[in-house]
Amino acid sequence: MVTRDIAVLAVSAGPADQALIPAELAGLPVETVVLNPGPPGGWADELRAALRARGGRRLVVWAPHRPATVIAAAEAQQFPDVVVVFTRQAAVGVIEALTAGRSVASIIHPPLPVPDQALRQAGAGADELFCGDGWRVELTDQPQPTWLTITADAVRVAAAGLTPAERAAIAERAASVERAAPAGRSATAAAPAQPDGQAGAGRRRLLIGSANYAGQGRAWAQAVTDHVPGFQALNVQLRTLAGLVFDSDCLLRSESLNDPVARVDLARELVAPATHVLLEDMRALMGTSDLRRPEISPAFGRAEAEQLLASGRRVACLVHGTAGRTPARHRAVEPWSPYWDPESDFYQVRDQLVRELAAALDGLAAPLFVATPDMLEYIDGAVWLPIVAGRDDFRPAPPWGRAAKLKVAHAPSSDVMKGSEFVDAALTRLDRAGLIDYQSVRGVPPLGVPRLLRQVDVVVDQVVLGNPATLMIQTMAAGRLAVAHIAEPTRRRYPEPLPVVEADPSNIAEVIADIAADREAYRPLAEAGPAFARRFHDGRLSADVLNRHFLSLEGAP
Amino acid sequence: MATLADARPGSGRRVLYLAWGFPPYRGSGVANPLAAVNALAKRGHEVTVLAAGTDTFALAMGADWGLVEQIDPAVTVVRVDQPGAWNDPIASRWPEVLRRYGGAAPQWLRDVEVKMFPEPIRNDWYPAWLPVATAAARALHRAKPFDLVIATILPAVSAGVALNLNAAAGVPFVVYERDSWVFSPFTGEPYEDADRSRPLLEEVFERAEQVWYINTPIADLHRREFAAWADKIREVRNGWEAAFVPEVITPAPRAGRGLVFRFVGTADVGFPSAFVNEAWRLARAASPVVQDSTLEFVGVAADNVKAHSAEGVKWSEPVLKRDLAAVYASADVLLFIKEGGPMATSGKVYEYTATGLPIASSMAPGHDARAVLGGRPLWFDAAEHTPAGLAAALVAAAAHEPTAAELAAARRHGQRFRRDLIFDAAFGQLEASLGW
Repeated sequence: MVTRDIAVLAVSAGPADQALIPAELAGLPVETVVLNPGPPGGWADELRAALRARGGRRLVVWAPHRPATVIAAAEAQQFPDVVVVFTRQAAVGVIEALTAGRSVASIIHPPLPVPDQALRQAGAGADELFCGDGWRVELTDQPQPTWLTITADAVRVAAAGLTPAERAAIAERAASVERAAPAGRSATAAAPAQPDGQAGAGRRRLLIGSANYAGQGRAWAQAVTDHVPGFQALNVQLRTLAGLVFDSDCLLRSESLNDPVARVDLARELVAPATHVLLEDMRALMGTSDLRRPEISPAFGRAEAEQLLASGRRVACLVHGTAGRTPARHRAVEPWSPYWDPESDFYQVRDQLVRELAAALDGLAAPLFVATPDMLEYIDGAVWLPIVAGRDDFRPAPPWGRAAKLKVAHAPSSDVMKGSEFVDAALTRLDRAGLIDYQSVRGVPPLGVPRLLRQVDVVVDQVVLGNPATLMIQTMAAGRLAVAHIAEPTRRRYPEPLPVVEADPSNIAEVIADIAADREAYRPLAEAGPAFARRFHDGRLSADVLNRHFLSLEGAP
Repeated sequence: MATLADARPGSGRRVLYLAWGFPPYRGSGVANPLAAVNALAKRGHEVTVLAAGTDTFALAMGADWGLVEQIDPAVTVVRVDQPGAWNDPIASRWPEVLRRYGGAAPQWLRDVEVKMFPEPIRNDWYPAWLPVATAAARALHRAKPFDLVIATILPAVSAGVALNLNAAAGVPFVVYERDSWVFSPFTGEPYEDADRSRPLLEEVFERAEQVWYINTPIADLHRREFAAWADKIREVRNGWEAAFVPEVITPAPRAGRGLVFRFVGTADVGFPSAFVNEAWRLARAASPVVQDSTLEFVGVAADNVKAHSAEGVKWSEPVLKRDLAAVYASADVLLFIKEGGPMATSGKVYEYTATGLPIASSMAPGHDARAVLGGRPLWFDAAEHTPAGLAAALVAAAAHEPTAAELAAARRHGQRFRRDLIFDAAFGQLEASLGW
């Protein structure tokens, strides 16, 4: 491969950098730009001039001094075919990659990891892929209502505002081996899945995203794939900077959300191929609102939902508790509500979120789901989509209640929303009195939850909200005794008694003490958990709910 | 030894081999998973490897494409790039949030990564591979189910993927721990953050079919610490590949010339370079032959270990694996020095034994490499693990010109550590235990 069109520029910010810079890297001579000493403020101009002077060659810029690296990377965005690296090894690696024929765009914008990538590498057939070779991408210089648009048969990207590298990367996607939508292939859902298991005229694909709280987006996707004939389902999680990561088919890190190429990948690999999209909390999936600062809040999610509907796809919305639970109403009916102070930021922020979601849902003709039955009191017209306990949650656990002391755990995802101050105070007293073995744990990774559950007898979940949340379901599935506050109207949503011991901050200590004193009285309740969880939370019912109320609906909503 | 392919052609099982570091990865330990998957394929199994993406190695860590040529063509390799914006050396990919922090992610952002998975020593890079690799593994299993998963660590995140697939789909698995996830191989003590990783290792022990370790001391330690699952523990040693070691090396007659002493392998930041340099200086002072000789380091070396090299010490760039045989063929004496104690063996010592060449060594008492070298002709071991001790060993090696018979005997000693034989035994007992 000819290398004469590749140049190497090292950026020296001082003698320490100079000592590192060799005369050659990977067989290419290294030019050096020595930045003026002093504050980095003037370096942008120097670096810009150095980049302009490269004479149209592909350029690898090695800047080992971090402040200079940051500035060089920012300046380089405006130039085509420039890669800025921080380490010598990376400089060598990039030079070798370019020499071997890689494009700068492919190095700076690698594809977003999606399951189909692995399947393609393994030689999977088209039937096994969610999107085949990827949806067609059109890059246009014509002004568009949004920078990214999904149509019936393509992903359309407006080029205005893209950096040269972004444009080149998206052009590569557009030029890659992709079939134009073949005759008959479009986003429009084909005939609905038949109850007897016969698939419709075309394969249907469901995409769920992007909250994936407690891994439920993934779990619902799995339920549909397992139990709704003719459907394949995947989920995507948009991970906030510090958010917990749960098992997901595609993970989009929030710091990548500002990368338009990553969003084009998401659109072409997952959103466009979907015939049905379940939006969680009406969060925007693709950030079509803005090229650089995408908003995912419900108002923008509504705009994306409208776009998807206009393109012939079917859309539904699932409302999670935090986004749908009206603080004022909860405070009125729940004596221990965490929304007790309307003047607090805690209240105001959540109230605003609920109002935004309600506004976004207003007038949207789309099926509505809620994840817990208590939420039916808050979202009119919603259908309860049960939380799913995964296969592993039903793994047989040791016999219940055999340890010398009752083992009790509290593992909140949010102290405030679970009422942890009350639980910890009460159960720590019982532990110190020698009545129980109590552990209060935080930040248990998803992989660690099964082990935790099998090591304890009792799990105290939330005692203030009134909702049967994921950990409570998992506790039942594992044959452990769940203790939580589940309001009576919510309990009545189940067609049979919920095997969960009721407790709230006023009596949690007494309840646990009673269990410790008379385990045999509570054993049937613990042992009833797995069968109960199987009937309502093993995915079959959830798949059926989604199918009846969304996936199998005829015609446009 | 009969294999499944011999007994029932085409009836091999589907095996997913999880190895984050796989060719073109050229780092320490890559030969092990390469040999393992080739051995499995040769036994008639349908093998898929799930590894970090080539860009992870080619653009950031260095790649050896020659190793890719060693992969059995029947093996399918699926690659998922290692995410990790905070450690990306390609600055053009830095997200805006990282640029706002001047290119250096603050500790709180790094700690978020650490929470995803308890990699040893709170590593904040590997954990991000867990979700993307799990998604790939799940998709592959859904498309065509696997009968078995084998995960090799470190990094331990590969074991996390195996756990996830077992939890999601009940796929049986084996973890080839090699070194330990919880205990330092150099000290035998728990890593500082072992309280995070130990519960997950217990989960591995509870669910896995078997857990393999690279030497007896590490295996025994885990048999004691995880006694409830001691019966699941096996030892599967490292070994050497015939492809990388010449069948016969006949050093040129010494006839008063200077000799070529060679260290082949990785000298990372913890390498005892000051120790070695001091030993070399002492040896040069004590022996005219050594004074005329060179000590050449061939392999990846951290910048700090190259500083203050003694006279006669040379540093050469790493060579591709396919060129290793020539490196051994032109050496007179091999230098073996490895930090650590009873828990440490090193992978390179097996290759060294196979060459038949004289080996001068220094290591802590009880170092497991002694279990490999013990009884081998042409082994010149330092009487005490000091620069003076190593110097004496170097001088002794320089003074003894090996005979053809000694070279042959030394080569024979190394035959038992041929990796294909080791894996044949390991996979044979595994297949039997699984009832395959």
